[in-house]
Amino acid sequence: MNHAQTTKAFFKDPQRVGWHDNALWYVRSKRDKAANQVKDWEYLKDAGAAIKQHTLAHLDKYLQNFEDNAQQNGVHVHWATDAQEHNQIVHRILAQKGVTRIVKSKSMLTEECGLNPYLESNGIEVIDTDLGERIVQLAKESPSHIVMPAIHKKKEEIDTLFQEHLHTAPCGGDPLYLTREARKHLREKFLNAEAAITGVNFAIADNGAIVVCTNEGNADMGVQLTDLHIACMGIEKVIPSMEDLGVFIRLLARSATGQPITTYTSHFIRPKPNATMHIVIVDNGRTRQMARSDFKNSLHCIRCGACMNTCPIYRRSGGHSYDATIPGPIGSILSPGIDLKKYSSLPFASTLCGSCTEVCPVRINIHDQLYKWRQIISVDGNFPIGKKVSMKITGYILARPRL
Amino acid sequence: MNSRQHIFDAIRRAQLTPIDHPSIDYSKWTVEGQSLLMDFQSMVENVGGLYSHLGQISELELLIKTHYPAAVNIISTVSLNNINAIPMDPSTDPHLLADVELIVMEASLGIAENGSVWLQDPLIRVLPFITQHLIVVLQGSRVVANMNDAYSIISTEDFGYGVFVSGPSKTADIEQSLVIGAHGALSTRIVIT
Ligand code: SF4
Repeated sequence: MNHAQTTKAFFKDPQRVGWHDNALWYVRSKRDKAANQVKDWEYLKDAGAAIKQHTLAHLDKYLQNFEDNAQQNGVHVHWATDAQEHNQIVHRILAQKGVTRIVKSKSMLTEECGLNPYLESNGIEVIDTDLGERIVQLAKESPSHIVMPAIHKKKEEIDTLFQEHLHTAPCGGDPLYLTREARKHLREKFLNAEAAITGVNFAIADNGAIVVCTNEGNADMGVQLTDLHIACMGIEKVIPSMEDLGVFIRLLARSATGQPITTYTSHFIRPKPNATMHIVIVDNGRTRQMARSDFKNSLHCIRCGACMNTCPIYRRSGGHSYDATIPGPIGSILSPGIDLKKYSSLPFASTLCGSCTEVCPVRINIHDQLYKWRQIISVDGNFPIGKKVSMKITGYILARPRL
Repeated sequence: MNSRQHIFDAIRRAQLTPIDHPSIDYSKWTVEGQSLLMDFQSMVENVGGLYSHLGQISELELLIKTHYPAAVNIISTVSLNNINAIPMDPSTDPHLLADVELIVMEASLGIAENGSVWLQDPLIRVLPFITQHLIVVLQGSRVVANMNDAYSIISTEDFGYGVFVSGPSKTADIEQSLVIGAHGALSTRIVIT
């Protein structure tokens, strides 16, 4: 992919670009207001960054503790080195119980692993229950933002989409009507589901808890109405203790949407009576990123999306232009770590203004890392990215087998 | 080699420099002269919640009759004398609760900085979500300043499930327009006693 090319479709409609830009800037300003209301916000960010740095440096210990405690709580723990293994594990758990209908709450990891198409090809109905995710699922698109999956869609488009799939009446894009209709439609799905899949915002080593944050209540509607809960997480989600969790919960929603906390912050420790709970812990390239000293702290990311909302390029090019599960500034660091050749244009999709680094609640030096990728990609100054550079990239990869 | 071992080996190979857990000075976030209850009330309202202060718990029934006159299917963990609440049995199939209109339950903590309340091990976990309307009863003395204070209390407790609830369920997934009432409760009222 080439970011300069993939933005072209979005650029065709200048009004939409302006509208998208404003929508995200509005979220960014709400974030500023919320951050300013917290005494010593900067110290809170310091604490978040230091806890993440410590945890990553002792990740084996914390994952081990987490696993021990989760198992003691009666939870089944599985490990997957890559996306394929993750999908197979989830499918096996579902198949053992003969499950054919599942509801899913937001999980960027399952998006990254391509879980939905995998399960669907095995005859399982997968319903995304976050409203934004359901919208993009019905539209057969992918989320364009990690917190607001349908931020690129206009309300009139959602109106049309719902008329087609949910048989709603035309409403001129009335958000209240459309949300109520979605509530009805998804209630029925919740009541008929046989299993629930959720993501994980934080996993607590000390007590084996997983913590899931939503505004809609969809994670709990799924989990509490079914007997089988599968939670999928990357290895970097673990943090040491509940005290540490307090720091991240204070940072997350304020950075994401400017709320002081999400409506629901659910702590799943033991399964409810007669129910089963599984946790699938996934690497899928994370340990490779960990081994790259210049890029390892990209694993601190708590997926708040603030760097996207503030980025002058993201705001004007839209999430789909990054052609990756995680778009925006942080995605432009992570994606080249997964496939340097494919994503070599992304570190250039930045003005290096540093706004991302400024807002990041866990102090990831995002723009420095973008610059570092540029140096690797353009080894001796081959701009713009062309054939010659991709040859060099291949050379770089061959010369550094650990990359 | 199994996947678990594979992942642990890869982590160890990365050989990150050990670094201590930071010693965090929680007092940095203490706001001098803060009125916890006043801040809590304004945050509850800020997140779209409703707020009532009762002189005594016996006034709860009047509050229910006044604000939820149409509610018939009511479940309450607080005992009510003159309102016909559905008796609650932990083994109830949660699907049978789909028509519950009002749930009254107690919280053990409230958080001033975000208007949330802590519900620990509800008798049936789906209750605060599946109901149309939620009332949470909280003692005014149980309000703490922030999440750090909350977790220093919660971390000493043994529970299987717990949730912070801040206001009613909501979404802004359609053009950033805030809509109250997504999948969970359409309204959340905090009743302080
Ligand atoms: S990199 Fe930082 S700002 Fe961007 S999503 Fe992750 S935590 Fe948020």
